[in-house]
Amino acid sequence: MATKIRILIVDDHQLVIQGILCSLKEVGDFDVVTTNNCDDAFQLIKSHQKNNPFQLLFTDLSFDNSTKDTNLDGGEELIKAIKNNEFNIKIGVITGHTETNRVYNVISNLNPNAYLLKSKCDVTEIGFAVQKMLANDYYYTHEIHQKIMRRNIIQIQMDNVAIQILKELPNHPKISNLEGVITKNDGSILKLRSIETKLANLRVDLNANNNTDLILKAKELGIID
Amino acid sequence: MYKKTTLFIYFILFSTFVFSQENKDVKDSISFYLKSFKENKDLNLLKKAVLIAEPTNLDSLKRELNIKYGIYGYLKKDTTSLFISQQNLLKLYLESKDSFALAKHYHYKALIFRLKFIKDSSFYYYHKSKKISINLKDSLEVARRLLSMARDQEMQRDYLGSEISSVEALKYIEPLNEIRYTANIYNNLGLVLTQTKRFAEARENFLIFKKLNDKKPTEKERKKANIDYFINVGLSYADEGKHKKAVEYYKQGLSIKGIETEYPRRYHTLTDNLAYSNFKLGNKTLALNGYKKALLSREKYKNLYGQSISHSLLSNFYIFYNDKQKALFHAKKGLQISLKIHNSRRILENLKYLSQLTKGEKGKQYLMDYIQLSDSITKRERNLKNQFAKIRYETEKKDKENNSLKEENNKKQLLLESEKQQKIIGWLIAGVSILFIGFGISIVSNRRKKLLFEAKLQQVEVRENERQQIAKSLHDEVAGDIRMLHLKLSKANQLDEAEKLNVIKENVRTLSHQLSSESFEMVSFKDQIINLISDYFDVNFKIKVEGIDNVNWLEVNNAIKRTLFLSIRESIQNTKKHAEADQINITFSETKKAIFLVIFDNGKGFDVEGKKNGIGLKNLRERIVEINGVFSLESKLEIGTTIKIETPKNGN
Repeated sequence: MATKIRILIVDDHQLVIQGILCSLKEVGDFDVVTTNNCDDAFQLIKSHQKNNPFQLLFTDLSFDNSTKDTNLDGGEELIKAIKNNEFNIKIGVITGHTETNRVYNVISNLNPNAYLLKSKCDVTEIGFAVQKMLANDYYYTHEIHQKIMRRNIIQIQMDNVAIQILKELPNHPKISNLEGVITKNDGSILKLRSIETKLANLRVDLNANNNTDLILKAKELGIID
Repeated sequence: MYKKTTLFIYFILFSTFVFSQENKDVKDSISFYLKSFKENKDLNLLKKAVLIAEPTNLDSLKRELNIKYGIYGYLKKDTTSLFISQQNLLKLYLESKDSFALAKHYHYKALIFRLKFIKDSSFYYYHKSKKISINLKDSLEVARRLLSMARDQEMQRDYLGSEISSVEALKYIEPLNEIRYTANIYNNLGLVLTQTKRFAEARENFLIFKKLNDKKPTEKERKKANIDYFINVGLSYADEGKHKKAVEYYKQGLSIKGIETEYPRRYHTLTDNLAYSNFKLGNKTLALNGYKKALLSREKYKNLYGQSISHSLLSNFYIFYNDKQKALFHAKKGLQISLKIHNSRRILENLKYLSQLTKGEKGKQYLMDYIQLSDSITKRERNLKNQFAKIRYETEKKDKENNSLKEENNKKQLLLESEKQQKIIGWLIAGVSILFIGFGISIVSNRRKKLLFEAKLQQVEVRENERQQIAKSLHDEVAGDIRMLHLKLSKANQLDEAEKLNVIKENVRTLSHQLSSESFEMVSFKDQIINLISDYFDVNFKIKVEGIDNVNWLEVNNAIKRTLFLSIRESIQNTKKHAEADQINITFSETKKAIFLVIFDNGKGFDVEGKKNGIGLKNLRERIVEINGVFSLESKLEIGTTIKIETPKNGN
């Protein structure tokens, strides 16, 4: 018989936990465990690692119920501890935090499989996130996705080399022709390999399928004129 | 102008060409004259050469010519030539300050006086010439002058003076390994010693003289000197009374080939001396033959001086052998000749013989003349001796005075110098200490500044921590309490109030969020700026950042970064709230000591003077000033607002 997928939910608000539980019930038949602090969550994951481990974890970022004795103070700490122990568990963040600083830090440093916002979350979204997470894929809710995109745009705008590449790309039929045209901040010439790496990163950042798409997107987003 | 210069250059070239051409001609004709002079020794040729050289500027050539002219003038006893050359040399010295020319000038002046038999003046100028040569460190010239002086002194019977001069001359000349003059000095020493009856010593010196002579380059020179040697050694034996020995030497001298024709004077002397020694030995015939031989030969060579000697010797001879007639004849002849040539010694001798030979009034007269002359001669000799001594003494005294003056001067100079040095050292020490103090003060003040700055930065950081604390408690406690209240209200079905409370809760959360900040160790400054901008960026509110990579943020103090971050956030918030701008440009730049931040928006702007600035701007300015930064704000209506911030990187 197929064992049920085990999910752990950590949140300091009972209401939120209830909400998530309800939603998950509608999504499928899961073996769900809940706790309202990070230390307990970590212990649960650790103790069940050998037999009957959890496959998924949903956690908040900030916890109001931390005391002096609290070891893991907040979601970031919990995720970091899990990553450090290399437990095989997919992590989703369900939180109210939308500040780019925090979002960016969580996503770029802790690399969770999902980032959901409590305010916008519904059954469909949770179901979608669970599916993606189980497939070791990523799902960020629309607003977060927008934020990351915007951040990427800002970063690209501040990146002199990236702007040069985006501007010069349409003028040259081959990428190899860009070598010698693009210069770094100190005036030295950027090698073809570096240009190609940069282009690949840009495509990822701007979610573009190919170079033509990249230019179109860059123009659309106002990165280049 | 150009033409003029070229013309001028042409002129110069032409004139120098002519000039050098002229010089060449002069040299040619001079060398021609010198050549012909070498052949026939006509002084007029030298004189012409000197006259040709006179108007040119060939100083060294002129000097050579005049020296040559002078010396040959002396050898030919031509005082006019000597006078001209001596004058020219003085002129040369006055024109070119050539001390050698001056030394020669004095030398020739001495020679002129010597030719005029004015011994004391001659001695004086020798002395002057010698002194200049001493200053020029020209040892050979010094020795030559000393030798001349010694010769004069010897002749004037100042034997002690002559000996001193000779020894001094040796002192100068011996290091030079010179032969000719060294030999002559030894010879003179020998003569002096003979005269002072130190015969053995004298002969030692003559021996040195002979040995040196043997080294002389030409046969002729050696021959001449050898004759002198035999004469002088022979004389020394004769004076000692050892006439047999003397005869040996005289004979050796006379046996030298060609002596009679080549060196007649020496030949006469030798013959005379041999005859005298024979006379003393009692060989009457040999003596008489010798005297007669010498007299004949002297008459042949018209040597009056020699003749006078011969006559007085013969007179002496005849007196000894009581042939009064002949004695009288020779004495009279001798007196006549010696009077002609002013040879006082011979005059005296002959007067003595005459007084012995003639009786009565005439004899008395001769005796009186003799006594008078003898007196005057001894007087003169004594005077001369005294003169020599005086000249020596006075110059030495002057030298001593000069030396003591010099020493005094040197002492004074040294004293002045050391005073000067002490002054300089003093100033240096003062300067160094001032520098040191200044340096110390600057270090101290820099340190103070740095410490103050660091203290301020620490203050900023402490406040930052406080803010974090407040943010945390706002979030954790206040928001938590509000949440509890919210739950209670919800349960009590007071939904309106619950909704209002929710708004308050959101506000508190935003406030907490505003207060909290991420540490720059966790997230880099650039990333934080990007995140900050991301929060405000919009298609209708573009934010452009430039030059953020120009600053090495890792080296910038966190408090400064925090201040800059907050300034940017405050500015963006102000712009977004009030300016109605659609573009913000943020530009970073840095120098070695400071970071510059310019924030420009294209909003509607505001009157900086008129409206009282908001609390946000005030805080902003305070924060910048707190870390020793400079804050400036410019705003133009309808154009936009520019905020310029400059913060030092460290305390200096």
